[in-house]
Amino acid sequence: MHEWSIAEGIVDVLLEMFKDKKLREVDIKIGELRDLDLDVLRSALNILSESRSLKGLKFNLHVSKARFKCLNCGEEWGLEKALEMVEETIGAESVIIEESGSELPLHFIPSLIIGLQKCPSCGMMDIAIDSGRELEITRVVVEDDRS
Amino acid sequence: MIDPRIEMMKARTSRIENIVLFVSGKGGVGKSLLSSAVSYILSERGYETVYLDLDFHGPSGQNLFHLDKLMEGGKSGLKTALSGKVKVASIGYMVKDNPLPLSGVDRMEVLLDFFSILDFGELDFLIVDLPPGMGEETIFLQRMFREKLSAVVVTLNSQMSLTTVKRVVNYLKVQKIGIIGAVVNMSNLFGKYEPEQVSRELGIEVIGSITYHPEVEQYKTIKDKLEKTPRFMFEIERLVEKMLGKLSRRLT
Repeated sequence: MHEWSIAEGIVDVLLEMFKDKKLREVDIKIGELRDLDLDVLRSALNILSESRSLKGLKFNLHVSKARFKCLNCGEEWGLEKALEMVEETIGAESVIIEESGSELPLHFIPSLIIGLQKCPSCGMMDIAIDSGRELEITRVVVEDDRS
Repeated sequence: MIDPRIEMMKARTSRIENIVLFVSGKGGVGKSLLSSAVSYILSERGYETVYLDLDFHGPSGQNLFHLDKLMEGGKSGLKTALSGKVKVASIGYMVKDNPLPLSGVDRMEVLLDFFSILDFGELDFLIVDLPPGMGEETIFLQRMFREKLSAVVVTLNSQMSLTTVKRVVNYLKVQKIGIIGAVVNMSNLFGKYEPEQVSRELGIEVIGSITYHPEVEQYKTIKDKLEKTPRFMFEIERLVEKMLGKLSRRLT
């Protein structure tokens, strides 16, 4: 439930970087591992941008699927397999940290998942996160002000 | 590509007065013990303090502080855990005893996420327990928060320790990070030099000497270690006095 603070960060950085520009569209890439509620994030972005001189700005949210790769044997896998291993490693009960329901610590710090799984094929812990932890503004469309 | 976490981090740390790093060039010199003890005493004296364990490969915060309240997620981000009056943040609470083999890029990612999502609130002191050396954690902190940083250098009074610690001192000086002083830990076990010589060797003032008290080992939490070993408590109290004196002089 920290979608609001993320939205605030996004609006802050846009205002900081594009002070005198009129913005039309912003693309944001969000890793699946962050498990953000996109509806909440979108409303937070809309409300904050309306109230902070970014009226009419359109936010396009893109989710990037989690992909892991074993650097020892080359095996690749996705979120479902990873979460199974996380539960086995630290136990289902210890991943509940949010009052409002079940939340993985990964929701806040996705890279920690590296320490909570092993390669499903060779069993080694030499794992790279290829994608799935992004929180990036990938494109900003500036209104053409030559009118 | 624009990373919004930098702005999030600025907002979250804007109400922190002092960030004090516990550094050394060597492992096993007592950074965790001393930084947690200092955090405990500062909190007892009424200073709003967070003990932040940034030793991702060997976090010990989760063992040193008995928790009354776990780290918890909420609307304003990830709240620090609470142990008596001390606020505590350690990834040890999240990964338990599992190893966390992080490469350089992954470590930077963890740091960016940790600092952009931790709800520090208004703080007098953020005490940072760093891993040995000058890795990503130290580089990250001096890049992001240089003007708020100061450092306590922990060393043993042995040639091997002093030689590597000197390297860290030089780095801190080059990066213009204020050095509060050096603390000689386990001063009764190693005695290469007199305190003045240690000072001269490192080129900074020695602000504390902490004796190795075997009985400290019997207790698990820093609270028990301090309260049940009055001589250890006395030495840490004296160190905190020195630190506060130095910081107020530096800040005025």
